[in-house]
Amino acid sequence: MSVHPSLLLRATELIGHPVVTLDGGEAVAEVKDVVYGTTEAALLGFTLRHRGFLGGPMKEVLAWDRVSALGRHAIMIATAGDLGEGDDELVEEVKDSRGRNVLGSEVITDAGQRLGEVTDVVVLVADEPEVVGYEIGGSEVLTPRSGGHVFIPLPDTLAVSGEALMVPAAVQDFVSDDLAGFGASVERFRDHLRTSS
Amino acid sequence: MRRLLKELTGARVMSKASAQKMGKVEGVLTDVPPRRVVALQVGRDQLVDWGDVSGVGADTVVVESEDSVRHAADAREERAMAGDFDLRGKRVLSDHGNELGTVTEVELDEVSGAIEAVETTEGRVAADRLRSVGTYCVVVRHDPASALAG
Repeated sequence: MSVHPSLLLRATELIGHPVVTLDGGEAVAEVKDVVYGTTEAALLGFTLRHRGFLGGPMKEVLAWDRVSALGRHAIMIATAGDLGEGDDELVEEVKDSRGRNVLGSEVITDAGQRLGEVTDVVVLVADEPEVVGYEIGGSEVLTPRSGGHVFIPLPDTLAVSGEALMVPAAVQDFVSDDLAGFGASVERFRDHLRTSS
Repeated sequence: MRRLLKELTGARVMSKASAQKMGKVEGVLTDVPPRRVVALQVGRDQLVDWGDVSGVGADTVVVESEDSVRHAADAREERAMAGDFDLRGKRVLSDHGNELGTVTEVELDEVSGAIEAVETTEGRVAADRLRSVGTYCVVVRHDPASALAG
Protein backbone atom coordinates (compact mmCIF):
# COMPACT_ATOMS: atom_id res chain seq x y z
CA MET A 1 0.00 0.00 0.00
CA SER A 2 1.38 3.37 -0.91
CA VAL A 3 1.22 6.46 1.27
CA HIS A 4 -0.99 9.17 -0.22
CA PRO A 5 1.21 12.18 -1.04
CA SER A 6 -1.26 14.64 0.48
CA LEU A 7 -0.48 13.03 3.84
CA LEU A 8 3.22 13.84 3.57
CA LEU A 9 4.66 17.17 4.54
CA ARG A 10 8.00 18.73 5.33
CA ALA A 11 8.47 19.42 9.03
CA THR A 12 9.53 23.00 8.31
CA GLU A 13 6.11 23.59 6.72
CA LEU A 14 4.71 23.23 10.24
CA ILE A 15 6.48 26.41 11.35
CA GLY A 16 3.80 29.06 11.75
CA HIS A 17 0.98 26.51 12.06
CA PRO A 18 -1.53 27.42 14.79
CA VAL A 19 -1.83 25.03 17.74
CA VAL A 20 -5.58 24.56 18.28
CA THR A 21 -7.47 22.93 21.16
CA LEU A 22 -10.02 20.22 20.35
CA ASP A 23 -12.08 21.01 23.43
CA GLY A 24 -12.23 24.77 22.99
CA GLY A 25 -11.65 25.71 19.36
CA GLU A 26 -8.99 28.18 20.49
CA ALA A 27 -5.60 28.81 18.89
CA VAL A 28 -3.35 28.84 21.95
CA ALA A 29 0.03 29.17 20.24
CA GLU A 30 1.82 28.91 16.95
CA VAL A 31 4.81 26.78 16.01
CA LYS A 32 8.09 28.67 16.31
CA ASP A 33 10.41 25.81 15.48
CA VAL A 34 10.58 22.04 15.12
CA VAL A 35 12.73 20.16 17.65
CA TYR A 36 14.46 17.01 16.44
CA GLY A 37 15.99 14.20 18.46
CA THR A 38 19.73 13.78 18.33
CA THR A 39 19.96 10.13 19.33
CA GLU A 40 17.09 8.83 17.23
CA ALA A 41 15.49 9.94 14.02
CA ALA A 42 12.37 11.48 15.44
CA LEU A 43 10.57 14.72 16.05
CA LEU A 44 10.56 15.49 19.76
CA GLY A 45 8.15 18.37 19.56
CA PHE A 46 7.85 22.07 18.91
CA THR A 47 8.88 25.35 20.43
CA LEU A 48 6.09 27.92 20.42
CA ARG A 49 5.40 31.60 20.11
CA HIS A 50 2.35 33.70 20.83
CA ARG A 51 0.09 34.13 17.83
CA GLY A 52 -0.12 37.20 15.72
CA PHE A 53 2.06 40.04 14.63
CA LEU A 54 5.01 40.54 17.01
CA GLY A 55 4.11 37.27 18.78
CA GLY A 56 6.91 36.66 21.26
CA PRO A 57 8.35 33.26 22.21
CA MET A 58 6.51 31.19 24.82
CA LYS A 59 8.21 29.27 27.61
CA GLU A 60 5.84 26.36 27.11
CA VAL A 61 6.70 23.74 24.50
CA LEU A 62 4.61 21.10 22.76
CA ALA A 63 5.95 17.57 23.19
CA TRP A 64 5.32 15.12 20.35
CA ASP A 65 3.31 12.72 22.55
CA ARG A 66 0.77 15.47 23.26
CA VAL A 67 0.03 16.10 19.58
CA SER A 68 -3.43 14.83 18.72
CA ALA A 69 -3.14 15.50 14.97
CA LEU A 70 -0.89 17.25 12.48
CA GLY A 71 -2.94 18.72 9.67
CA ARG A 72 -2.40 20.82 6.59
CA HIS A 73 -3.64 23.90 8.44
CA ALA A 74 -3.17 23.30 12.16
CA ILE A 75 -1.68 21.15 14.90
CA MET A 76 -4.45 19.84 17.15
CA ILE A 77 -4.09 19.19 20.88
CA ALA A 78 -6.76 17.92 23.27
CA THR A 79 -6.67 20.84 25.65
CA ALA A 80 -4.61 23.93 26.46
CA GLY A 81 -3.03 22.06 29.39
CA ASP A 82 -1.14 19.88 26.89
CA LEU A 83 1.42 22.65 26.45
CA GLY A 84 4.14 21.85 28.97
CA GLU A 85 6.63 23.95 30.87
CA GLY A 86 8.78 21.13 32.18
CA ASP A 87 6.55 18.79 34.12
CA ASP A 88 7.60 15.60 32.37
CA GLU A 89 10.57 13.90 30.76
CA LEU A 90 9.75 14.55 27.10
CA VAL A 91 9.01 18.22 27.75
CA GLU A 92 12.44 18.51 29.41
CA GLU A 93 14.04 16.76 26.44
CA VAL A 94 12.34 19.13 24.00
CA LYS A 95 13.61 22.11 25.98
CA ASP A 96 17.14 20.67 26.16
CA SER A 97 17.22 19.89 22.43
CA ARG A 98 16.00 23.28 21.24
CA GLY A 99 19.39 24.48 20.07
CA ARG A 100 20.30 21.31 18.20
CA ASN A 101 19.28 20.60 14.71
CA VAL A 102 19.26 17.58 12.45
CA LEU A 103 19.02 19.97 9.51
CA GLY A 104 22.47 20.30 8.00
CA SER A 105 23.61 16.87 9.19
CA GLU A 106 25.56 14.81 6.68
CA VAL A 107 23.95 11.65 5.35
CA ILE A 108 26.40 8.75 4.97
CA THR A 109 25.65 5.23 3.78
CA ASP A 110 27.06 2.19 5.54
CA ALA A 111 29.15 1.73 2.39
CA GLY A 112 30.87 5.00 3.24
CA GLN A 113 29.26 7.13 0.55
CA ARG A 114 28.22 10.70 1.33
CA LEU A 115 24.70 11.32 -0.01
CA GLY A 116 24.34 14.98 0.95
CA GLU A 117 22.94 17.04 3.81
CA VAL A 118 19.54 16.94 5.51
CA THR A 119 17.47 19.94 4.42
CA ASP A 120 14.14 18.80 5.88
CA VAL A 121 12.32 15.97 7.64
CA VAL A 122 9.30 14.35 5.98
CA VAL A 123 6.35 13.63 8.27
CA LEU A 124 3.43 11.34 7.54
CA VAL A 125 0.35 13.05 8.95
CA ALA A 126 -2.11 10.25 9.52
CA ASP A 127 -3.90 9.13 12.66
CA GLU A 128 -0.50 8.42 14.18
CA PRO A 129 1.95 11.00 12.82
CA GLU A 130 5.45 9.64 12.14
CA VAL A 131 8.73 10.64 10.53
CA VAL A 132 9.12 8.68 7.29
CA GLY A 133 12.09 10.24 5.55
CA TYR A 134 14.46 13.07 4.87
CA GLU A 135 14.86 15.67 2.20
CA ILE A 136 18.49 15.85 1.17
CA GLY A 137 20.30 18.62 -0.65
CA GLY A 138 23.84 19.19 -1.87
CA SER A 139 23.90 15.65 -3.14
CA GLU A 140 27.00 14.56 -4.99
CA VAL A 141 25.81 11.11 -6.01
CA LEU A 142 22.06 11.49 -6.31
CA THR A 143 21.03 13.59 -9.25
CA PRO A 144 17.44 14.77 -8.99
CA ARG A 145 15.68 15.54 -12.26
CA SER A 146 14.22 18.76 -10.92
CA GLY A 147 15.40 21.14 -8.23
CA GLY A 148 18.37 20.51 -6.04
CA HIS A 149 16.75 18.13 -3.58
CA VAL A 150 15.83 14.46 -3.30
CA PHE A 151 13.88 12.48 -0.72
CA ILE A 152 15.11 9.34 1.00
CA PRO A 153 12.96 7.01 3.07
CA LEU A 154 13.83 6.42 6.67
CA PRO A 155 14.61 2.90 7.80
CA ASP A 156 13.06 1.73 11.03
CA THR A 157 16.42 1.96 12.77
CA LEU A 158 19.05 4.50 11.95
CA ALA A 159 22.20 5.72 13.67
CA VAL A 160 22.21 9.44 14.31
CA SER A 161 24.91 11.59 15.87
CA GLY A 162 25.20 15.34 16.17
CA GLU A 163 26.99 15.48 12.83
CA ALA A 164 25.78 12.65 10.63
CA LEU A 165 23.01 10.17 9.83
CA MET A 166 24.05 6.64 8.95
CA VAL A 167 21.72 4.95 6.45
CA PRO A 168 21.83 1.60 4.65
CA ALA A 169 23.39 1.79 1.18
CA ALA A 170 20.21 0.26 -0.24
CA VAL A 171 18.42 3.55 0.42
CA GLN A 172 19.85 4.83 -2.87
CA ASP A 173 17.47 2.57 -4.79
CA PHE A 174 14.46 4.27 -3.20
CA VAL A 175 15.21 7.92 -3.80
CA SER A 176 12.43 10.21 -5.08
CA ASP A 177 12.58 13.59 -6.72
CA ASP A 178 9.32 14.78 -5.21
CA LEU A 179 6.87 14.08 -2.42
CA ALA A 180 4.33 12.67 -4.89
CA GLY A 181 6.56 9.74 -5.71
CA PHE A 182 7.96 9.50 -2.22
CA GLY A 183 4.91 7.88 -0.63
CA ALA A 184 5.40 4.76 -2.72
CA SER A 185 9.16 4.74 -2.08
CA VAL A 186 8.69 4.65 1.68
CA GLU A 187 6.56 1.52 1.45
CA ARG A 188 8.81 -0.23 -1.08
CA PHE A 189 11.90 0.55 0.97
CA ARG A 190 10.37 -0.78 4.17
CA ASP A 191 9.21 -3.92 2.38
CA HIS A 192 12.73 -4.34 1.05
CA LEU A 193 14.22 -4.05 4.54
CA ARG A 194 11.70 -6.52 5.94
CA THR A 195 12.30 -9.18 3.29
CA SER A 196 16.10 -8.81 3.25
CA SER A 197 16.55 -9.02 6.99
CA MET B 1 -39.33 22.15 11.05
CA ARG B 2 -35.94 23.15 9.80
CA ARG B 3 -35.06 26.84 9.95
CA LEU B 4 -32.00 28.87 9.17
CA LEU B 5 -30.49 30.77 12.05
CA LYS B 6 -30.65 34.03 10.11
CA GLU B 7 -34.46 33.72 9.85
CA LEU B 8 -34.80 34.14 13.61
CA THR B 9 -32.78 37.33 13.74
CA GLY B 10 -35.03 40.40 13.56
CA ALA B 11 -38.20 38.54 14.56
CA ARG B 12 -40.40 40.35 17.08
CA VAL B 13 -40.62 38.86 20.56
CA MET B 14 -44.10 38.62 22.13
CA SER B 15 -45.07 37.68 25.69
CA LYS B 16 -47.52 34.79 25.97
CA ALA B 17 -48.67 36.07 29.39
CA SER B 18 -49.43 39.65 28.34
CA ALA B 19 -49.56 39.54 24.53
CA GLN B 20 -47.26 42.55 24.60
CA LYS B 21 -44.33 43.07 22.27
CA MET B 22 -41.08 42.81 24.22
CA GLY B 23 -38.58 43.70 21.56
CA LYS B 24 -36.73 42.08 18.69
CA VAL B 25 -34.41 39.11 18.38
CA GLU B 26 -31.03 40.79 18.02
CA GLY B 27 -29.00 37.62 18.17
CA VAL B 28 -29.21 33.86 18.48
CA LEU B 29 -26.79 32.32 20.97
CA THR B 30 -25.67 28.81 20.10
CA ASP B 31 -23.02 26.72 21.80
CA VAL B 32 -21.12 23.51 21.05
CA PRO B 33 -21.55 21.44 23.07
CA PRO B 34 -24.57 21.21 23.52
CA ARG B 35 -24.95 21.85 19.73
CA ARG B 36 -28.09 23.91 20.15
CA VAL B 37 -29.57 27.35 20.60
CA VAL B 38 -29.12 28.21 24.26
CA ALA B 39 -30.75 31.65 24.29
CA LEU B 40 -32.07 34.50 22.20
CA GLN B 41 -30.68 37.97 22.65
CA VAL B 42 -33.60 40.39 23.00
CA GLY B 43 -32.78 44.05 22.73
CA ARG B 44 -29.25 45.20 23.37
CA ASP B 45 -28.23 43.27 26.47
CA GLN B 46 -30.96 40.87 27.55
CA LEU B 47 -31.43 37.16 27.08
CA VAL B 48 -34.31 34.71 26.96
CA ASP B 49 -33.47 31.05 27.55
CA TRP B 50 -34.51 28.80 24.70
CA GLY B 51 -36.48 26.80 27.29
CA ASP B 52 -38.72 29.85 27.82
CA VAL B 53 -39.59 30.10 24.13
CA SER B 54 -43.07 28.70 23.58
CA GLY B 55 -43.25 29.04 19.83
CA VAL B 56 -41.48 30.26 16.70
CA GLY B 57 -43.61 31.60 13.85
CA ALA B 58 -42.72 33.10 10.52
CA ASP B 59 -41.73 36.46 12.01
CA THR B 60 -42.71 36.21 15.66
CA VAL B 61 -41.13 34.44 18.61
CA VAL B 62 -43.44 33.90 21.59
CA VAL B 63 -41.88 33.64 25.05
CA GLU B 64 -43.55 32.70 28.34
CA SER B 65 -43.68 36.13 29.98
CA GLU B 66 -41.84 39.38 30.70
CA ASP B 67 -40.14 37.49 33.56
CA SER B 68 -38.36 35.31 31.02
CA VAL B 69 -35.94 38.13 30.24
CA ARG B 70 -32.63 38.13 32.10
CA HIS B 71 -29.06 39.37 31.86
CA ALA B 72 -25.99 37.28 31.06
CA ALA B 73 -25.36 34.90 33.96
CA ASP B 74 -21.67 34.15 33.50
CA ALA B 75 -18.52 35.03 31.57
CA ARG B 76 -19.23 32.50 28.83
CA GLU B 77 -22.67 34.02 28.18
CA GLU B 78 -21.12 37.47 28.08
CA ARG B 79 -18.63 36.22 25.51
CA ALA B 80 -21.45 34.57 23.59
CA MET B 81 -23.35 37.86 23.49
CA ALA B 82 -20.21 39.54 22.19
CA GLY B 83 -20.27 37.01 19.33
CA ASP B 84 -17.26 34.90 20.38
CA PHE B 85 -19.09 31.62 19.76
CA ASP B 86 -21.16 32.71 16.80
CA LEU B 87 -20.70 29.94 14.27
CA ARG B 88 -21.31 32.11 11.25
CA GLY B 89 -18.16 33.51 9.69
CA LYS B 90 -15.97 31.14 11.66
CA ARG B 91 -13.36 28.86 10.10
CA VAL B 92 -14.08 25.14 10.32
CA LEU B 93 -11.18 22.89 11.30
CA SER B 94 -11.32 19.10 11.52
CA ASP B 95 -9.81 17.28 14.46
CA HIS B 96 -7.16 16.13 11.96
CA GLY B 97 -6.04 19.74 11.52
CA ASN B 98 -7.49 20.39 8.05
CA GLU B 99 -9.70 23.35 7.13
CA LEU B 100 -13.20 22.88 5.70
CA GLY B 101 -14.04 26.46 4.78
CA THR B 102 -15.98 29.07 6.72
CA VAL B 103 -19.48 28.73 8.21
CA THR B 104 -22.04 30.60 6.13
CA GLU B 105 -25.29 29.43 7.78
CA VAL B 106 -26.64 27.24 10.56
CA GLU B 107 -29.64 24.92 10.17
CA LEU B 108 -31.82 24.58 13.28
CA ASP B 109 -34.79 22.56 14.41
CA GLU B 110 -37.20 25.32 15.38
CA VAL B 111 -38.94 23.24 18.03
CA SER B 112 -36.00 21.80 19.93
CA GLY B 113 -33.47 24.48 19.04
CA ALA B 114 -30.99 21.75 18.11
CA ILE B 115 -28.40 22.52 15.44
CA GLU B 116 -28.93 20.09 12.57
CA ALA B 117 -26.08 21.13 10.30
CA VAL B 118 -23.75 23.96 9.39
CA GLU B 119 -23.24 25.13 5.85
CA THR B 120 -19.69 26.13 4.97
CA THR B 121 -18.10 27.70 1.92
CA GLU B 122 -17.10 24.15 0.94
CA GLY B 123 -20.29 22.24 1.71
CA ARG B 124 -22.57 20.94 4.44
CA VAL B 125 -21.40 19.41 7.72
CA ALA B 126 -23.86 17.43 9.86
CA ALA B 127 -24.23 18.63 13.44
CA ASP B 128 -23.17 15.33 15.02
CA ARG B 129 -19.64 16.13 13.79
CA LEU B 130 -19.42 19.39 15.77
CA ARG B 131 -16.97 19.06 18.68
CA SER B 132 -16.37 22.56 20.01
CA VAL B 133 -16.41 26.24 19.16
CA GLY B 134 -14.02 28.97 20.23
CA THR B 135 -12.91 32.37 19.06
CA TYR B 136 -10.52 30.78 16.55
CA CYS B 137 -12.62 28.07 14.94
CA VAL B 138 -15.30 25.41 15.00
CA VAL B 139 -13.75 21.96 15.53
CA VAL B 140 -15.48 19.11 13.69
CA ARG B 141 -14.85 15.39 13.68
CA HIS B 142 -12.90 13.93 10.74
CA ASP B 143 -15.28 11.79 8.68
CA PRO B 144 -13.77 9.67 5.92
CA ALA B 145 -17.27 8.87 4.62
CA SER B 146 -18.07 12.54 3.98
CA ALA B 147 -17.27 14.53 0.84
CA LEU B 148 -15.86 17.06 3.32
CA ALA B 149 -13.80 14.54 5.24
CA GLY B 150 -11.44 17.00 6.89
